[in-house]
Amino acid sequence: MAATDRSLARLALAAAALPGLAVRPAAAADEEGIDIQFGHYQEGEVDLGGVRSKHAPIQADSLHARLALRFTGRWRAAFNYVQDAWSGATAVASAPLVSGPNVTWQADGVTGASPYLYLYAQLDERLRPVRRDANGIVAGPDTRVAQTITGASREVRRQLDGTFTREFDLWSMDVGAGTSREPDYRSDFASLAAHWRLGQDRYTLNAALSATSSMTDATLDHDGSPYVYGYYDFLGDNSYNQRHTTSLVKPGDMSPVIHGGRSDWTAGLSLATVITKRSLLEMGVGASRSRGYLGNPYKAMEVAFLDPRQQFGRAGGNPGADYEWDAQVIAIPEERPDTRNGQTFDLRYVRQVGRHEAALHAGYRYYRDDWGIHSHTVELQWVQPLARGWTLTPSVRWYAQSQADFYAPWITSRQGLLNPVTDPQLGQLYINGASPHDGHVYFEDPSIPAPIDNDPNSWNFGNPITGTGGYALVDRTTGKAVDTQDLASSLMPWNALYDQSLLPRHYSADTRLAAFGMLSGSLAIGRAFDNGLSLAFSWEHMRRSAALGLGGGYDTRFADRDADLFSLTLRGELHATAGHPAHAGHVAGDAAMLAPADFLGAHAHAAAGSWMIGYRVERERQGGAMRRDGRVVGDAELVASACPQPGCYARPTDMSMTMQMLEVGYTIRAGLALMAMPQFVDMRMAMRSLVGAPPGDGMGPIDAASMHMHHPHTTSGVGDTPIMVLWHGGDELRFAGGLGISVPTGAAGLRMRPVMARTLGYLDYDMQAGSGTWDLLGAMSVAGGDARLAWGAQAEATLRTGGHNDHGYARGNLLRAYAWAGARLAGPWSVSMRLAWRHEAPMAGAYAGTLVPIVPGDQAWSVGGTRLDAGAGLSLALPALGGMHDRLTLEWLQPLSQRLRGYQLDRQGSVGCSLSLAF
Amino acid sequence: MDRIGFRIRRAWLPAALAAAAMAGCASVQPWERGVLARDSMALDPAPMASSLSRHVHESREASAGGSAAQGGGCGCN
Repeated sequence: MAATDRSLARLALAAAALPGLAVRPAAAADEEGIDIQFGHYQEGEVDLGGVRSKHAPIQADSLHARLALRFTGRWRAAFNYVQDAWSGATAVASAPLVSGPNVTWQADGVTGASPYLYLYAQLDERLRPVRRDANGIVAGPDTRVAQTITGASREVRRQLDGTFTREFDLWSMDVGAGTSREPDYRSDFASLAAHWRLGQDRYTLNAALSATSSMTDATLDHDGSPYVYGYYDFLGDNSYNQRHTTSLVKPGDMSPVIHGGRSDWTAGLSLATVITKRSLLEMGVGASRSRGYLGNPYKAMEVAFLDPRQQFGRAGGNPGADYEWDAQVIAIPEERPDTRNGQTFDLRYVRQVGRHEAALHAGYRYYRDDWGIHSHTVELQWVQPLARGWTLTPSVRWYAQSQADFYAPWITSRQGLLNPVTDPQLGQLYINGASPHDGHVYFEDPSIPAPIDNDPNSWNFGNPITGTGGYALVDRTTGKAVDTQDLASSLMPWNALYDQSLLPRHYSADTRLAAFGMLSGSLAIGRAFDNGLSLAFSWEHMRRSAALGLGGGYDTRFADRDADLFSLTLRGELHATAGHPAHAGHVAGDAAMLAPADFLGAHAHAAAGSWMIGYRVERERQGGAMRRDGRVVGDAELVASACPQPGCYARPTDMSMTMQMLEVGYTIRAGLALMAMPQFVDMRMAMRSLVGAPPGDGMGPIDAASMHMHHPHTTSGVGDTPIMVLWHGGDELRFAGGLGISVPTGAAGLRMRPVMARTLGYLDYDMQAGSGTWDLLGAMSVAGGDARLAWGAQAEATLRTGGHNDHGYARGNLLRAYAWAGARLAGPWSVSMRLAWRHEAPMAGAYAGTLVPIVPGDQAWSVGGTRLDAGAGLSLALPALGGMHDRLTLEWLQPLSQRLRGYQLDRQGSVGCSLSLAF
Repeated sequence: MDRIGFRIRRAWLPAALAAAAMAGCASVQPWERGVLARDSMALDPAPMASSLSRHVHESREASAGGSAAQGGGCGCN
């Protein structure tokens, strides 16, 4: 090799080691930074055959925070926290439209609260449902299907995961692990991946392996599960557990609970290639292997049982009838295979187009598995950089899948739902309905005289004791005739539930397993600023379409719907602002570095054009005793006085509120800044019954609401969004002020989901995510001292100026004031102390809609009050992250005294953690 | 037999494509990769947004799995 070639090769190798010259899997994946994303998903309504569901369609709020750090030159790590809150209507099953899976009795066409799962239909000779016209005459087959809708409880899922990466000269390795938790499902996962840079970085070979262990722990819908057969047999014995090995059903407080475990393995291999100076190609193959309980606990299959004993059409020997079969359409649990193996093939091509730095991304994915599903996905994305750091990204996605081998919207079975248990010689057998497991079986014997009832207190006194056929009832075990009317009256025909072996081995009506397609288009607009901050908003509209399904199969247009997905992503690159002139040596800011994280002056140190991002988590807990005017109150007083007549039924035992706040600040000019603080809130309340509570109301709304006591109430979602203009000034003494509004982005009318068809109305006032009113915000602060020792004070007000909200009430004005002192310790550490006063004025108005008051917090007069807290905080300056005023703080606030209005649970204190970064 | 042959052909398709891609690519020197280093040329230019979108699609479509993504929850509703 010539010396020139060797030099060139060495240069090439050195250049290849520079970051960014290998194929990049994802933008910013290997750069330090913090990402925060808010997402909102909203589904449209499905066609229920002219009936509107009273349950709102599915919607979800999502929060995703990501932190990527480089520890040394060779190690880096990324951590993700994801929180989703889902709520809304979900389909339990689907059934022939003519059988009425969504019947309405109301004039406004809104379906009732209970899912209709116990149905009846008439079928023709080809087992198609028949429709009758207004005169009751069969008008022909009607194969339309509709889903049965029920309301899903609002559920929150939290996921935490992390990945550590070790880089070597020509390859790197990722080791990751994480966990995902939600009330009915939890999963833990781990992954291992390796990336090799080959051929002077012309190729990147990636190999990945992941394992996930998951557990379902699902409480079945208490409205729907009583109408789903197949968990228990006619005698009340658990028949589900006898048929299943990977899942089991246990009785729960409100309805049965399904437990099941599963494991998932995935492996993937991909090769990314530099094709030209302007194009890349990546190809990959993957395999997945799933074992265990792979079913959906909330889905049921409607079976049209054609009971030969219950036929009144032509099938029953009635040639004059205008239909063939009578069908009882009954829901039973779905049955899926316990194994699933899938394979994928991926292709992705990226090419710069034209002279305007636009990039075309084209992707294709093929999937197939041994459930009979195969799918194609095609994605096209156009990334168009514009002037001043703006980027516009339109994209389209086409997805189509075939149906699973065992998918059907509903099925038929030529047997009865209940079938008489008979003896070849003795005929129909009977059991004691009052004691079905006593081992005694009875039959009617026409050959012996029936005993005469000799009990003078019996309604049958003096008459023969017989069965429904008029003959004597005989105990098959003892051979003796039943001689008491009490026993005879409790005997009932012994029936067996349907024969599972006559049904297909696997069946599911989950429309996700049907043949359909999904078309979606999205538009994202983003801007990257010079200081390492970037902001992006995206909107994706998607439409499910059965017409796009692959390979024929059932027509599932009844499940077609639209959906929208919005996301707002904020990214700050760490180290991007080191030495930024905006942050060089601000004495005022240094004193503010010792203040509590929510101190107004802490945001007032930046120069024009600079940004501040903060992320704060606060968790407040209530527990222990219930109080009124500072004194502890017992159950008797709560029952008698804390609720309207007939009194309270329950009290909270533990409440928590977690708020995650994103603070985004922009300094318009020196001394003037704009702040927006979107929030995500979670509330949880556990309860217990009160001793001496009034009697129930006979399965009315009170009893239905009381069923909710068996599990904690939880709410979660976006809270209100304060937006403020801040200004500051002064020299020895620094003053800051703020004025703004609180945008009512949080829900103020969250309700309990119905139970037993009872509308239960609103949740407690303190369980609402927002105020529902446009509020005026004001704040002012003063601070003094220097970088070693500082002090300050702040007053804030939230004034409810917008009248009552849409739900009939307005929270009371909120006033806060506190004084603080801070001192720098050794190195980057500092401490702060504060004394904080908080007052929430009485509420105006009350819930205007349905409310079933069972706990004190349902009353508007048991909200708010005054308290005094003492706080201690610890702060860690983080200049290594690039900003002079970056810091992490942790603070504990402990109530010193509290005078809460009405009857409320003791405040136990709160803990807050804040990360502030300047750019 | 034809079915087996079809399976073999299908299994080799990705490998053949990979070989073709590797053989067909020009020798692009490291200093010629300025365009390829741009954010817009990353295989996933917006990983946060695409992660959310993927999560939604996986909870609504049947062909979940097969990727390196884990977790994601039940997606039962």
